[in-house]
Amino acid sequence: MRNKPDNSDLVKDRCVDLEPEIRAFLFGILRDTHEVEDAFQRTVVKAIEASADVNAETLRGWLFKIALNEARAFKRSQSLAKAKIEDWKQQFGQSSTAGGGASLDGIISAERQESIDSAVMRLPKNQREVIERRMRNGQKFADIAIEMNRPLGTILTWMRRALNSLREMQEIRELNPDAGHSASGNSAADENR
Amino acid sequence: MNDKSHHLATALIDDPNWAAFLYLSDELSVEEARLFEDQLADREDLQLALIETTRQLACLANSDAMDGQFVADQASAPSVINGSEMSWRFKAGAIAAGLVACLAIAVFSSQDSVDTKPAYTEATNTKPADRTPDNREQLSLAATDGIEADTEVLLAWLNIPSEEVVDEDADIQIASDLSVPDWMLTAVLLEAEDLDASEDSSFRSLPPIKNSDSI
Repeated sequence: MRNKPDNSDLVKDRCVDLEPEIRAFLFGILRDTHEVEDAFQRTVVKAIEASADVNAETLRGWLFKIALNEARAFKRSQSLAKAKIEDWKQQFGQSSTAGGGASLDGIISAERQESIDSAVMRLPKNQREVIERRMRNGQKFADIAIEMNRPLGTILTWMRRALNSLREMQEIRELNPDAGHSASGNSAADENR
Repeated sequence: MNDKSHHLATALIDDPNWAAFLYLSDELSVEEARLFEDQLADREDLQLALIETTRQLACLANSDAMDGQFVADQASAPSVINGSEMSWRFKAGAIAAGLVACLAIAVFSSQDSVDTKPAYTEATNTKPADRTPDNREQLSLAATDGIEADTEVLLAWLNIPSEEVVDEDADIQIASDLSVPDWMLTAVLLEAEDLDASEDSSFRSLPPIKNSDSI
C-alpha cells in the first residue's frame, strides 16, 4: 500500500502566496470582512487536511474551489435569505483606513486605490456620472436611466465601458507606471468622441 | 427577468468581468447568482474576473474621486465643457446650419414654384412635445413659416447635449463623419442676416397652400 505524498507544505505556501486573491474572492461572495476572515481560515484548514490528494499543477484552481465551497457553506449557515444590503457603498466601502477591524487591507492596496482615483477622473463625464450614482448614491440602474433620461441599455453600456476603461488604465499603469497616465488619458478621450 | 438572464448567459461567455460585476452589484436573481457561483467552481477566468472586479469596486466605493460633486453639478448649471464636447456642439451646430441652408434654398425656390408640399401644413402642426431627436429633421423641414422657426430649430440643435448626437449605443458615431464646409456656414449666416435686416414681408406672407391649387 502506497503512502500518499505529504503536500501540506506546498499547500501552505500556496495559501500564503494566494492569500490576497483568495480574500478578494471570498469578499466578492460574502461582502463582509469578518466573514471573509473566518472563511479564509476554514479554507486553509480544509486545504491542508486534503493536501494529500492535491495535484500540484491544479493547486490554484483547487484552492479556489475549496474557498468557494466554504463561502457558500458560510452563506447557507448565515441563512441564504439574508437580505441584500441595499446600501451598496456599505458593502464595499469598508475603508482600509477605518478602524474596528472592518478593513479591506489585503484585498486592495494603497497603490491600486490611488490608481483608481486617478483613472476615475479621466473617464468621460457620462461614465463618471453613472459610476457615481451607482456606487456613491446606491441608485439602481433603472432609476439612473430615468434621471439621466437615457435608455437602460445606454446606462449599462456606459457602466461597462467605464469598468473596462478603468481596468485598461490599471493594466497600463502596472506595465509602465510612468506612461500609464498619458496613455490611459488618451484612451478615455477616445471613448468620449 | 428573461432579458437579464440572457444578458448574464451572454456575459458569462463573452465578458466574465461584466458577469462578475452583475453578480457583485446584486443585479442577478438568486438563481442567476447560483448559476454564476456554479461556474466559478471550474472557471479560472471567472475566478480572476471576480477577484479583479471585487477589488475594482472596493476601490471605487472608497474613491476620493467621487465626492458627490458630479451629481450635484447635474442639477445646476452645466459643468465645464471639455474639448471633445465643444467639438460635438460645434458639429451639431454645423449640421443644423447645413439644414438651415438647405431650408433657405428650398424656401426661396418654393416662392417661384407652383408645387407646394403637403407636408408643409402637416409638419408645422407638430407639438413641442413631439420634438424628439428622431423627428427633429422632419420638424426642421417643416419649419418654413419664417426666420423665427428656422432660428428655433437651429437653437434646438445647438442645445442638444453632445451625447444625443451619438447613437444611443454609442457604437456608431455617424455624426463624427459629417463635416460642413466653412463656405456653407458663412452663406447661411449671411442669408440669415439679410433676411432679418430686411424684414421682408413677402416671405412671411406666402400664400396659403390652398391658393397654390388655383395657379
